[in-house]
Amino acid sequence: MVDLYKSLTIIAPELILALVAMTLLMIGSFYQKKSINLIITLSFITLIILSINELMPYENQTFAFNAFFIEDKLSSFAKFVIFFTSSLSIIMSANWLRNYDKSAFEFPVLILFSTLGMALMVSANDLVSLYLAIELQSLPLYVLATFNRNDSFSSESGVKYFILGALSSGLLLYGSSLIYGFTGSIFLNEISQLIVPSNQLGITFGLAFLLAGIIFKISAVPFHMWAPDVYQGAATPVTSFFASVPKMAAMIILIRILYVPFDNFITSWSQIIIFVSFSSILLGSVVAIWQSNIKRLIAYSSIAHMGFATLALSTGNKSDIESILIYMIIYIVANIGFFSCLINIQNRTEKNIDNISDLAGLSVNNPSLAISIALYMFSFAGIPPLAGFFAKYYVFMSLVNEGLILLATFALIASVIGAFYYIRFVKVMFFDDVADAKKITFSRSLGLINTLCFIFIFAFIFVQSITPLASIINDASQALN
Amino acid sequence: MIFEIGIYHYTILSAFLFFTGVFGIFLNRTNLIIILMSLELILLSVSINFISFSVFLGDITGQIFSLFILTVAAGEAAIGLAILVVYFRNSGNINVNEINKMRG
Repeated sequence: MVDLYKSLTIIAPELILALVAMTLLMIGSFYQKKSINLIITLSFITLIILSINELMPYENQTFAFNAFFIEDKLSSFAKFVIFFTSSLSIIMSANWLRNYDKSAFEFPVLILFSTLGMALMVSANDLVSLYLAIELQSLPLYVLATFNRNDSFSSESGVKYFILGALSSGLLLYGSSLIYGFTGSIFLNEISQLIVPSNQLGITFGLAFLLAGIIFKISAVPFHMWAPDVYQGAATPVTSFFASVPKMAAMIILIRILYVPFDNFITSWSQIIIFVSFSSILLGSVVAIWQSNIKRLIAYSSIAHMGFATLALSTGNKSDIESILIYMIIYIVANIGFFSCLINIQNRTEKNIDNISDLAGLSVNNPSLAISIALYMFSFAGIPPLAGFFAKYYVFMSLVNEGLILLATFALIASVIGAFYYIRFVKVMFFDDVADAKKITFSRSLGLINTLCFIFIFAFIFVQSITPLASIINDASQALN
Repeated sequence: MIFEIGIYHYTILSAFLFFTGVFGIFLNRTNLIIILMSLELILLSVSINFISFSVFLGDITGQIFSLFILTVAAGEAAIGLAILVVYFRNSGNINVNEINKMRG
């Protein structure tokens, strides 16, 4: 019983999140339209409190429920990011949701359930809890993609996401079954000791299927084809959630899978990872040039960014986890900032803002919005004083330190190609003719989120030096050693 | 002579069912319901794999895993059918060929 009590205290944040989500579901179904503000506020407050809770110092590594669940610095850092970003997503969607349908109280509840799945995913320590957490994360996401249910684009994106997502879960599951069959264990920390040379082929097959499932979740090539359609079809607040939080969770589980059970398999998986990152960067940078839809372009840009983040993984050196984490943080913050501007523009204008050309004349209608979007675009492209430059700098440094200079050179060239379409945003906003002069103002919550992201991106070095961010990331990256 | 069924037969059976499911998703050009059936087939083939490995390893974990897979498969089918109904209301058909509003 003592053991159960200890396990329950370790898993307490997830339990609280699950209870709050179910309670809010009940409140929503009893009070319908009256409860929407209450549900948004309560889910926001819960996520903020839980994210602050993850920053509290505690023991280095603890297991719960017979090692089904692991809590270490890496998972608690990931949970901090996941909870915090989800709470921002809920706030960002609040105005849109009130305009869309006041009785659609499920939206924050679905985000809470998906967040719960992601939190369990980053601290999964065996294949059963990994699979169940991934399903708990993706089932609400399928529903969120279809959320705008009178829109044919949204329902089509939901169908595509569901079919490909379920297929990727199947691949992941088949890989876990092979790994279980050839090693006899499902615990990630035991598998590495149970690998014998005679079973190497079967385990490599299992690892390849497992990786295919996880690479789908971070939407890297060759499993990227869902991302552009789903990003375009889903409602903009949903897209902002898709583009930020699930990527963090999937990236953490990718790191954990590669460095914990398959630490001795680096020669097999580094080939796969180099191929994935190489082709993601190339496809994301080149295909995006022909895109005219804003969200579709962001999807291709996110494919390229995931390529850059996995590039640091291909070195097979545990000390490079730090540069992946920094890359993910900066990517997420820039994404949240960009989408806070886009959602604000879409909320405040009558006509649809879908294409890049619809942003023409934004510098006249609202200079602060135009400057913010320009800043995020420059950061995505990696222009020096901004945060995006440092993200790419750390990744390139870890490649150069491992002697992968050819790969670094190639990634540098691809990022220059990528700069073309980011800078096109700036050209359209500042230099194209104004279609209709109509002032757009910031709503309070989106303006606040935009300001925070703006400061983070603009003064990254300063932020890094006055906050404990650097030491937290450093601690998190040491967790798997 | 008694023909003995070993672990390889089960593994080959499950691999065959798995790839039937995967090809069912990619080669099927007519109906979304068939895709849902193929997804179920994938999950069930993995269940066969887990149960046979579990029996031959003498370890109960695989059988418990397959029970979890069954519950998740039920949830997934429910959500899949719900999304299918929403899609049908908007487009009036469930042809795979006509899911092409977004391209590029």
